[in-house]
Amino acid sequence: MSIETRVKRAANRPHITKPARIASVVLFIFGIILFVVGSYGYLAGDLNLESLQPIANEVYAARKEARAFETPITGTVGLFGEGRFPVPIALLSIVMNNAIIIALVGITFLFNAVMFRIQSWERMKDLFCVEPALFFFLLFVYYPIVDLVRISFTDMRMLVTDPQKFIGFKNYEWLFLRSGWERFSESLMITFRYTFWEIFITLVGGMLLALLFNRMSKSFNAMRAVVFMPKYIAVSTSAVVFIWILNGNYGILNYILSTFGIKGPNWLVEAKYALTGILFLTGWRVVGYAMMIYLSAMQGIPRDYYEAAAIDGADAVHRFRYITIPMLGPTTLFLFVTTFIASMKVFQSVDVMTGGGPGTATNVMVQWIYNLSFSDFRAARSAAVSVVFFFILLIATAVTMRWSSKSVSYDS
Amino acid sequence: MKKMLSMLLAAILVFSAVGPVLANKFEVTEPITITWWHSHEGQWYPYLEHMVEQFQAANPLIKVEPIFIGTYPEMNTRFIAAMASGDVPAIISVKTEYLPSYGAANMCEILDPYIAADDFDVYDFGEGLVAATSFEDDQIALPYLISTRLMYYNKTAAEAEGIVMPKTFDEMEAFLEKATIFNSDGSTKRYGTIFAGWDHTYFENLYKNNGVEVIREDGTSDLNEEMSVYITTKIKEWVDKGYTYFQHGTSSSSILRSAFWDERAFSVFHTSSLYDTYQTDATFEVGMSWMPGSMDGTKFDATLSGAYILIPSIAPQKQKNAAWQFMKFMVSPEINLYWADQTGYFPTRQTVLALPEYQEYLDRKPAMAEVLSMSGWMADNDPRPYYSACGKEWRMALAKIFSEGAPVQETLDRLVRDIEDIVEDF
Repeated sequence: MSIETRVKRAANRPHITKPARIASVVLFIFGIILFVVGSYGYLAGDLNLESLQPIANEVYAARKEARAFETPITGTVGLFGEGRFPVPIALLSIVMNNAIIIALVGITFLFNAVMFRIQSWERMKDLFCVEPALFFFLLFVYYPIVDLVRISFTDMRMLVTDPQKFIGFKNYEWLFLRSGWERFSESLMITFRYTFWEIFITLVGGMLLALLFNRMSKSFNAMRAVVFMPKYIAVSTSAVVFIWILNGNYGILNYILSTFGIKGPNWLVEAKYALTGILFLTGWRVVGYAMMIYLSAMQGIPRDYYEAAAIDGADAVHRFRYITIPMLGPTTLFLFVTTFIASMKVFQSVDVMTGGGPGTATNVMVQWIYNLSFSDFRAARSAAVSVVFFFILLIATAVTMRWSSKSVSYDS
Repeated sequence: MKKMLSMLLAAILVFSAVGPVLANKFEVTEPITITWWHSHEGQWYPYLEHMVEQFQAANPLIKVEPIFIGTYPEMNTRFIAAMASGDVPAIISVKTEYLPSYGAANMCEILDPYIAADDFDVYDFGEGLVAATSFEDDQIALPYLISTRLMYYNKTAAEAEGIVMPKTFDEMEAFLEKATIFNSDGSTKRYGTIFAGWDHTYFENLYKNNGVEVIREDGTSDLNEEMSVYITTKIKEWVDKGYTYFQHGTSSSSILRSAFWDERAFSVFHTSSLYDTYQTDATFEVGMSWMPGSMDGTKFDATLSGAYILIPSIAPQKQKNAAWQFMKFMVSPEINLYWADQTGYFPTRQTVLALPEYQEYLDRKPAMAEVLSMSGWMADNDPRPYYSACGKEWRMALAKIFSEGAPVQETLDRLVRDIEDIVEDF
């Protein structure tokens, strides 16, 4: 390495002040302590480590008594067995309740301790601004995912308060090699079918409506607002209204059909029509949103292209095929990916309108996961299905993104 | 005299010391507000409010706040979440079939000490109901509103057309043939009956009374064996002939009622608790008939349903004490008869029979009198915590067979595999 390079590097190296070094050491010490304390709480409370179970049980018993008589938790417990390193049970209870938060704070401290040694104070200030958001992101987004994986290896059941046992791959064995597989594949097919139609309605319906409303008059503005409004109505509320609309005997849809001499089916009760019934609600909700996105994209297409094409003799269909559709590529991709992810996770409308029935006709994946947990109380199996479904979504999204990056042009 | 006086003083001293100990330790001594989570929909509110007002008038220290949570499955979800968070109500109404799971998970306060302290006569409910609300010999709930599964029928039409309700399963076919009316194009104008398919408790005893064991002791099931296949095939045959159908899916209960009121069905399987609703909205006289029994006419079990009340085990003791007072009031003979009279729930306490109002009640509801004579056949829900999940699988399998034309044997084989997997999971 030349002297010049060395001098340059030395000049770029941040100047670490003495207070920063002290802060680094303090943060490091506190970080280690908090991380160890948090990990202890996690091992005792969440992981139910066998050697710590007697201690955890003492805490549970003290909590129960305190709650029953509305008194504070009293007494001490030996952290490393009877009489060894006694701490107040109340303190240990707090640690067990907040183990993950304590451990995460510890990790944050350790991270900052390192950063103080390699970053300038100016950069540290930027980092401090980002860290709270990062902390909550880890706590509320990534920790549940990790914990879901943990649960999928246990025998956790919703109503059982006994410590969970780790049972290895038993839940996955049920899912892939035993009766779980039939239900899983059936549910996945229903989910894909639903997704296909939701994407179809979103893209085709949205684009057609956008073409229709692509004018800037006042009346069209009002009509656009009317079409867009369903997006802002709570799914559960609109689902209840749609249950009434789709009622086989008294629903308004069948009434309208009957005026044309058509006898409408019992939409949400007959297995072969139930998913269609749910898709009516879906279409009503999503199509306005897709229209707005397409409209904004259409407004961004330079008029020159159309004028030039018209001069060259292109008719309206050709202009739509060779200018509008390619220019809307990125928008279509955006809608496709977001709709794909959202529709694969559809739950609320299904839960309110059919609860997954009749039979298993609308038992989409999230509904099945929910039913496994809250109706059958089989939380561990539900977690195993969730983990597998998570990976399916991850892979499907990655494949879609990769495929589209090759096929969609962002060059305007 | 002095000796007597000293003895008297000593006695007073002793009693003053022991007195507080003898006093009921579950007594409510200061004002308290308790919340009661329930699933009573709007039509029950007047009765609910009447009950709460009466209770508060008799117990000025306790204020009750009833909170409607939603359907029983929703209540179940909320109860589980509340137990996890520690923020529980003082008292909660739960669907009968969930109780064994709650008992197994120690979610309910054990009521035996309260019962003993108040000398509360729990056996006034009858041994069957005491057993149904117990878990491993601990009383964990009290029967609140009890009903059973039975058949409603159009009594006016039955008398005019000479139709007799089936007493056993093998009388069903002749009954359906007679009660079903077809249009000239062959479609069904009036179904003989409609099977309620949204809950396994509506059809389980058609099987169980005939010897089918849904879950054996060893965790296996004979739902894919001879008798179960026979019964399922028979019902499918009736469905195919247009005599009946399997009502399931969204708004099933109201669709079923409408079909009955509109005379599109001669009879329906439903819960006895809706007797008043059925009677009020029908333009004909409504009759009630017990669930068809075993083919040999020896077994007539019908599933007990309705709601129990319990106190969450983690509620604070003061809340539990107040809840216990309210609980006792909710199941008192007067309130028990009041609910029975206003709805279609059964009077469940023996002492109700001695009330002067009881005869008036029977006179007002002759159909109920007929059914009550069979109430000894009300069968407890299966106490095994996995039974409810298995029941759901069973219901879905039958829906596939009856509504989607799935093959009987193959579907029942798959059902048994599912059931055995569920049992193993537990």
